[in-house]
Amino acid sequence: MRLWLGICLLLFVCGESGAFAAAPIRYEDQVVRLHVSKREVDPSSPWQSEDTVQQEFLGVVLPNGEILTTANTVANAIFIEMQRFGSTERGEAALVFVDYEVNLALVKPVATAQLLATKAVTLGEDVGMDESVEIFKGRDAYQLSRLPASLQDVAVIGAATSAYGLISYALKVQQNGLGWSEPVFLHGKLVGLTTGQDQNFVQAAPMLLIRHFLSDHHDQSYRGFPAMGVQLEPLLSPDTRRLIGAGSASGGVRVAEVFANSPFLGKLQTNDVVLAVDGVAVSEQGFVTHPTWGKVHLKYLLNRHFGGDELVLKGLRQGREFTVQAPLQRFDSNRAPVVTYSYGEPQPHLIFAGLVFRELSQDYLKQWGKDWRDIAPSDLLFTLNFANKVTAQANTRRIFLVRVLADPFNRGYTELRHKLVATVNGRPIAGLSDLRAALARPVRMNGKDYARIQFAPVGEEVILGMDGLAEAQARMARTYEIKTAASFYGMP
Amino acid sequence: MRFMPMVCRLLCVLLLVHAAPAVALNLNALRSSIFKIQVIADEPSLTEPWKRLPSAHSSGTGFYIGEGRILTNAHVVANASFVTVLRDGDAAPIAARVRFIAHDCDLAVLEPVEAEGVKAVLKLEPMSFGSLPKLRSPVSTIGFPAGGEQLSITEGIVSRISYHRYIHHANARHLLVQVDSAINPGNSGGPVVQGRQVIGVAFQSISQAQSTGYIIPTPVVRRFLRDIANGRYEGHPDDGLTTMDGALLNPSTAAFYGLSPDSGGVTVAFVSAWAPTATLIRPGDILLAIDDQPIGVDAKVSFSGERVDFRTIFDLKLMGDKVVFQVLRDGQSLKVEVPVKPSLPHHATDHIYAKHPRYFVYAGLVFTVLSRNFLQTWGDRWYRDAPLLLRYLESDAVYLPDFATNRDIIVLAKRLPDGVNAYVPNQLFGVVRAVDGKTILSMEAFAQALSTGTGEFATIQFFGNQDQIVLGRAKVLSRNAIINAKYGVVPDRWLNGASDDGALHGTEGEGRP
Repeated sequence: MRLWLGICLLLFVCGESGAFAAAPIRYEDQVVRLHVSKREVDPSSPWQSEDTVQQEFLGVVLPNGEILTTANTVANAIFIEMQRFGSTERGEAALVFVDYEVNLALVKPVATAQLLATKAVTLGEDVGMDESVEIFKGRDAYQLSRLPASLQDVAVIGAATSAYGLISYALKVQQNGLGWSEPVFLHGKLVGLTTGQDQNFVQAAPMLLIRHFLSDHHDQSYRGFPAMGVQLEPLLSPDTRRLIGAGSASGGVRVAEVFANSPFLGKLQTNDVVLAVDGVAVSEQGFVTHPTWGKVHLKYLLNRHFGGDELVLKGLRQGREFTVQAPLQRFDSNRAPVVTYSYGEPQPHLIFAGLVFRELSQDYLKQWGKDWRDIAPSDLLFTLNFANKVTAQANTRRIFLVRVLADPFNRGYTELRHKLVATVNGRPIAGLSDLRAALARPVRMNGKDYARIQFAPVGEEVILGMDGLAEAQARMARTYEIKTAASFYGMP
Repeated sequence: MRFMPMVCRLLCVLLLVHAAPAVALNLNALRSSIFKIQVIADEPSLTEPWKRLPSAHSSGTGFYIGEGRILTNAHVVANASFVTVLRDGDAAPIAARVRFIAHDCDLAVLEPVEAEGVKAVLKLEPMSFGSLPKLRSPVSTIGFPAGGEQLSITEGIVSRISYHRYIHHANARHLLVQVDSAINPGNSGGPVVQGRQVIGVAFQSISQAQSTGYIIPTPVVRRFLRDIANGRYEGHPDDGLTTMDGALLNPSTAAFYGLSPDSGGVTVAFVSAWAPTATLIRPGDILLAIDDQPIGVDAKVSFSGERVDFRTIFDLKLMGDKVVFQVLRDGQSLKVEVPVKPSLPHHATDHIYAKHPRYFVYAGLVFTVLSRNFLQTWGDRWYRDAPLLLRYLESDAVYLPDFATNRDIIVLAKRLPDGVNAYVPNQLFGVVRAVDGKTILSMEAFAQALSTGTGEFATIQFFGNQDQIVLGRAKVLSRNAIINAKYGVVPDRWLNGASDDGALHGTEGEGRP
């Protein structure tokens, strides 16, 4: 015991000083700057991009020469440069792998010479509550600087780059401007990567996630992070417990809904009580006990699993206990009708007669700034919040009219915007492919073909003749300088 | 400095334009018929609706219209508990009561309470009404702006005549006239005159625009006076139509319906189930004319020499009148006669001016109805700060099948903490959908379901949320009286309808909105 304490003390002292007498750790060799040129799609004109912006992040060198950083670093990236601390040289880096759900990514220098002077980090373990760590800041400087921080909380929060619930550190620190993939070290070992900051608290991905991500990726067949597909609610009310037959049980959370894509569909039902996950007892508020962190939300248990793993639940249905098991599926934020993210991907859209249609996405709503959840158009926010349930059919999307490219062909409709499409030519629309297919079957009236586009919930209709469509669209392409002919309906 | 003379010349021209009314106003001839109205109002609390907010003092303007009646704005006397009227130059105010109040068109009629007052008022010369003013004609607004003691006159020019929102009501639209002169607090209810004739009643302004005011024109005022002629105010009819204005401007859209580009008309997108037009007008109909007035593709008709929204014609009808639409339906032109009648009971998220909002308190949970006032408890920026579901339902519930037949939209407004509700899920500002699984459409049905249900547990389900409230009925029954006594909840419910007007309660009026 005394020997162990001595080793710990030695590690602590060395870690604090940042230098072993025999082999000092040069963090500058393990941490690199990543200069990223980013370009997002123009949400209202999805055939073109917004201005390119440059941002700086940090990454750490892994033993295999790859650089670990957050997915936020590479989101919408079109060019990445790597730079060692102490060097003015920049070298191109390429994306190796990214998982936006867990907000982690790997990049690699294109020329291996860039790695010559670098050293790999040593991966550490998860940090204990109140333990002191160091955050290395330097994305906007030529030198790394150390900031003392301490672990104040461990909680499941929404990933910065997806809708997935992730276990995350809350590190208390007296410094602003963090959350740009700065590495967190303890005793010379990597113990986390920062993902965001809220006042004096920096969020960071713990090693649980980083090790999961790295081992999964190095297995060649990435299985990802799973979810249960079940909405669970706290079960504090004694009345609710008695109503659903859980009055005599202790702990457990109520199954509020089993989603259409859940592996537990047909195995769990509303008002079942989940008493334990993976054999770990669940409290009435949905927490489980972690040996180091104490009370943590049960979703954390899913972060330990891989897609395809079996999950065992102990449940209670009207007073009778049961055990149920199902293979977990990799979580996909974009499985819901409203798209969560599409970093770097083309924004699916279609222009018909100047009417610009696209899939409703959070990327679109975020153009209203940091308060987008309050000030974006309420019809679209309502759809996101109340009409966004996962359906049995994959690829269901909410299609809406972004705006109208004013032209004599569509006069009378030029003021329309932010209208959700219900039907086209009498056919329900649940995706851009539905829209294309429906437009290909025009309505015949008075000897001519027409497109009838009806919007929800009011029922306003746009009715436009198909005659002269190609000519009008060609004119619009010239007027609005739309160079991607495929953006238009019916154009090659 | 070289540009200064030019600026000065320009400024002088502008001042001259404003300072030279075409018709000189003889104020002495009018001042005896114009009153300063002073009001003490008690509004109900929206979050604890059994209570009244602290009394508020305010003032406005009114004018004598004959038969012992003084006309003013509804918002001047809304929720009034005490009203006095005072003529310019008089020493003693006369106690008055609200006889009729019309929140939809922001007009009210006052009468002196005491015989002496009635006698004094009856001696006055009533002001007479003119017609709709011409665009760009000069007008004079008379009143007691900013609570002043002397009458003030503001000159202006008629700049627009349109069919627009009356903010006192929140959602009602009627004909109004915009003038380019300031209408300040205290001017409200004052006459706007041309010569000696009243051509409107001053009532609202734009806070961002310093010299833009709005007046209620005489067609709306005359309609109000005709409406109350039988001793009861029935209100403006609601056509319940949502149209797609401008669509027939498109030649191919017109051709689809077999119309030529100059045929005019508007397409109907939605017809409210509670409106008098329901079942008579259908979505997809083209409205070509109303009462033989052709409707343009801009949804406007010719009205007193100006072009205004076609709804103006429907809006100015009285209950019992008829409106005839020329409709194109399935290629056939037909006349559709719509009897003008009150809308069926339905949820309306307007301002509430009742003595109390409709509410019900159960197990210390305060449920009330969604209204504009309730949303405004989130402050001036309620349209972004209030919960999304509430502000969305305020504008769009009428279009959602889930709420189409609702009489009320019921919101959990507050929890009065007690052991019986200590563990209910956080559903604050949630919208009630069902009790014990049965859909709830009105506050009466809600109170009934919770009060008379017999199951061991009462369960309340909310829209868009799977986390229901479960309460043991026996326990609630034993705690209800205790909770209500502790928090001063008296009574535990208020289920009165539209006839429950705060101003008529407060001043013993008789008219009903």
